[in-house]
Amino acid sequence: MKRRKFIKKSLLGGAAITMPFVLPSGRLFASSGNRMADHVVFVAFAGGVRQQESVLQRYLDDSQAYASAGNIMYNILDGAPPTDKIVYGTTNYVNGDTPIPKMLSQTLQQQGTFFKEVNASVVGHYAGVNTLLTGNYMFTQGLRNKPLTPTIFEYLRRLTGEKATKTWFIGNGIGNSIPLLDYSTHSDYGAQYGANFLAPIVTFGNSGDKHLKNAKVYHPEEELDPMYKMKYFLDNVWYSQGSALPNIGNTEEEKLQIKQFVRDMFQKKDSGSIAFPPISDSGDLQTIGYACEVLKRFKPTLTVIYLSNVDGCHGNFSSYLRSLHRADHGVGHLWDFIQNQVPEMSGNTTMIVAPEHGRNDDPNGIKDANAFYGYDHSDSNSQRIFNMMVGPGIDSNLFIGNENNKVGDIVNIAPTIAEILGFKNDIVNTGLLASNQSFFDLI
Amino acid sequence: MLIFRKFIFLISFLLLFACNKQEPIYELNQINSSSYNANKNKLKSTMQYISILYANLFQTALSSNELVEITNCIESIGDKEVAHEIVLSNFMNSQQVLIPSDSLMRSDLNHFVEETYKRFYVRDITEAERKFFIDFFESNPSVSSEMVYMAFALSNEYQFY
Repeated sequence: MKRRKFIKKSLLGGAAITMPFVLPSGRLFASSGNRMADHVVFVAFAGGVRQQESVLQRYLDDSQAYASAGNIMYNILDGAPPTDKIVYGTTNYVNGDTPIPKMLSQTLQQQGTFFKEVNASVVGHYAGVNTLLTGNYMFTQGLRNKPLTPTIFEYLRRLTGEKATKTWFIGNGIGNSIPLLDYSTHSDYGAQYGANFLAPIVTFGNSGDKHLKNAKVYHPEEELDPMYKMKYFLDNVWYSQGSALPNIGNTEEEKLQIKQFVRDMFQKKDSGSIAFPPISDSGDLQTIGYACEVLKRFKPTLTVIYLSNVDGCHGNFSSYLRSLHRADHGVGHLWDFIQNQVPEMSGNTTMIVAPEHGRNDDPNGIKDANAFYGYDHSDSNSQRIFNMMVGPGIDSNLFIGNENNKVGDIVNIAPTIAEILGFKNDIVNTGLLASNQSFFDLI
Repeated sequence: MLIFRKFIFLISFLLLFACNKQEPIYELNQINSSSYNANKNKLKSTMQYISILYANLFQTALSSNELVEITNCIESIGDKEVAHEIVLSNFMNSQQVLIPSDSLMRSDLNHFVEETYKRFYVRDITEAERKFFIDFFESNPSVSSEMVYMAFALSNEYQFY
């Protein structure tokens, strides 16, 4: 090869290697890290969970000064269930007297890595979930405001170019400003990188039956196409004069898929074939059932599922125990469903389970029908949570930290998700996180 | 001599003003016209959007119970365009919805599109918009009044006031 030709080819080759590649997401380079798994399912085990009834397995022993201890979360944690004064199960003779059978042959604790004592500095539901999703403490953030810093959904989509239907945020309702957490108001991120939010027990509940179920099915080419052409013309005219609407960036194809999913769910609901857990007598468990359907249909890269029925603890401790037991049942069902019903995600999914905050050490004085005291969330005991991780590449049967040794913080969850999905360096380079450490860095 | 001077003065005076050209006066008929985007700069809340849309399509007010239910349904779906489309197509399935028939629409396309702009956007149509729609209707004979109403109700301008 002649010298001039060699130099020309070398320069072209070098340029091809060094020239940035602009992804549709607007980023220059594909994410730099290797993925530990292609899917993350993060269960915000939210509503305020006391360490005493969860990790420490003290049941009524600590909270009600009644000598009955034991594990009521036996899909997640190792430990024998309580044997006395059972109120957390389904009802056979008296309220809650029949514990729900265990779902998993091996607990998540045995399958994964368990941080037993983690710090959560904020003790409000919205602020807590906000922190779980953004990796930032929003000390000045009130309800009814979108997050000020990007959510993990936005990082994922902007930094790796994921499609909108690959990120889902599934809430067990629309209270507590939860629907606002699908994206932030950060100027470099925002709606176009947001998650698809769904509160299925509302969408497919009584209101949905009345106002969504009988939606007309328009023909994609003969009706929707001209309809959208007219709409695009109207929107183009408007953009020259008016403001733009927030848009999470579902393509037309993705929108069709979501509409089809909604229609199918109404049909499955009518035929009784939604993938609910064996017991589905609570909002959290119904939410888990629809979340399973989302996983099966869309195989998302990141799914966040928000549970919160345990928040009943303020005034009904028995209901709190039931909700805790059911949330564990739901998580067991979810993990089992992923492994056995979604082949594309089986063995290729990491699940993370963490509350958004704890609950108080001392009761509030409100007694329920069993004369059990309720607990609020405002003292230092409310800053105690746990974190469970299970999936490919994660050490099994590993415990870290204990009651006297806190290891990890709630803000480590966002970088942990980023590390699993192979874009931790990118998320750290944004400089927007409160902590650059993932839970893997703390092992 | 004095009379002659007076006569000269009178003639001069008359000549001076007789040559004065009268300026034409142009008058315009006043017409009422809404401004181009009708100064819409505030995003409707979900409740505002639904109650206005319902009143527009059914010519009656939505009950407060139903307003809350529909608002909750929309809040439960993150992609608002998808949520609005599902709710709106549910409205379109109702027998009570008041939409001009397709034959009425086709009998006077100009009038239909003018009225549609006023009904949804509370403003007059521009000539560019009129041309687009007339051309579009003529080249797409299967476009129905319902499809036009769906497009307007889902459009971004309708989300603002």
